[in-house]
Amino acid sequence: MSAAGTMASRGFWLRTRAMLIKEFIQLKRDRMSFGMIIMIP
Amino acid sequence: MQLILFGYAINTTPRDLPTAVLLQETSDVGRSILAALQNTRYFKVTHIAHNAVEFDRLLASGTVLFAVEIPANFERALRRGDRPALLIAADATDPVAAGSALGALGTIVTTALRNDHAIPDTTAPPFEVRAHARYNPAASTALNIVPGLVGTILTMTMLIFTALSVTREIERGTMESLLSMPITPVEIMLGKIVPYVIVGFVQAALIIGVGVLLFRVPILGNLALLALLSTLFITTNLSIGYTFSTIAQNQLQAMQMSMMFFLPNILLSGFMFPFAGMPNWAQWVGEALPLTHFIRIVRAIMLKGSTIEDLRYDALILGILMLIAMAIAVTRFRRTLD
Repeated sequence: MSAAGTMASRGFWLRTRAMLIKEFIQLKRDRMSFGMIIMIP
Repeated sequence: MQLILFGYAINTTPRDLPTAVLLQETSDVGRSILAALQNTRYFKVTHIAHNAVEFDRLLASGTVLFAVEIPANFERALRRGDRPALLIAADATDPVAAGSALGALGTIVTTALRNDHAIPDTTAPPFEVRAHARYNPAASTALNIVPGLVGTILTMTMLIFTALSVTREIERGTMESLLSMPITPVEIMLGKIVPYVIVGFVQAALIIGVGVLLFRVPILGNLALLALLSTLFITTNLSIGYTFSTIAQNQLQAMQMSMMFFLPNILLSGFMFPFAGMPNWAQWVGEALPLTHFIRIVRAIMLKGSTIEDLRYDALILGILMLIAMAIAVTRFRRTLD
């Protein structure tokens, strides 16, 4: 893979990781929804 | 639309259930029984098995719900008054579908043989119907419902989680900052879906765990395969929910879309009503729903011990549905707030 390709791939994973962390933080803050996840089943 | 759809599709008395016949002898009586099965509305003879291995494979793969075996020397034993046994094996993973047809078989065959003058017109039938309810011998409803509930609960929760994800960002005002960042629609979609895959996995483990401990539902197949295909199903539902989120203008619309999708999943997937009993057009609609395939997968792995070879069709359809939903979501994702 070329240097540009490696950079693009690294950027993709970094940005996706950032989105994941953001979603996990939102999920952690929303205690009610988190409780429902366990209680619904 | 839903009223017309379900009013015509749902049938609590299943008809035309796919059936295989294994004829161990070529005789007039055998042909009479085969004709009687083909003429009845309960059974639809779709396969003629040539040996016992094929007979078992057709049942195990879910290709047929019933397999009738006319044993060798059946006619001779019948005429001698030896009361031979007509064997019927039923896939009892869905006891509702199997029950009424099993009950009707003896009468159907007796009437056909009397009409063809193969047996005398006596009160007691001169043969015995020996029924084997395979995979659920006690016809326990829990063994049918609990695996189905895994899929139903996951569909409901997974759809809603992601259906609200984009619309919630818009309504909270956080979408503006998300769009101003150098992030692509695919990255946003993955970031929204992956956390809920873990959540869905925990939910599936909870339901299956409680089902095993409380309702004594067995897991005869490979647990790793069940986990893998459950993850595929969870991702498919999350992708569909995310697609709704990219189409809807607000959270209420996203919820309504989810409900519009959830209801056919429950009613046309074979969870509440036997799939094989629905008309053909309704079965085609059902084939396009992820829950239909997951219910087959989860019942087959838990109750039959099926392998990936038996389930490759359902796994493939789930994968295709997931890719279609993801492609629509990425295409529909708006880069502006207008």
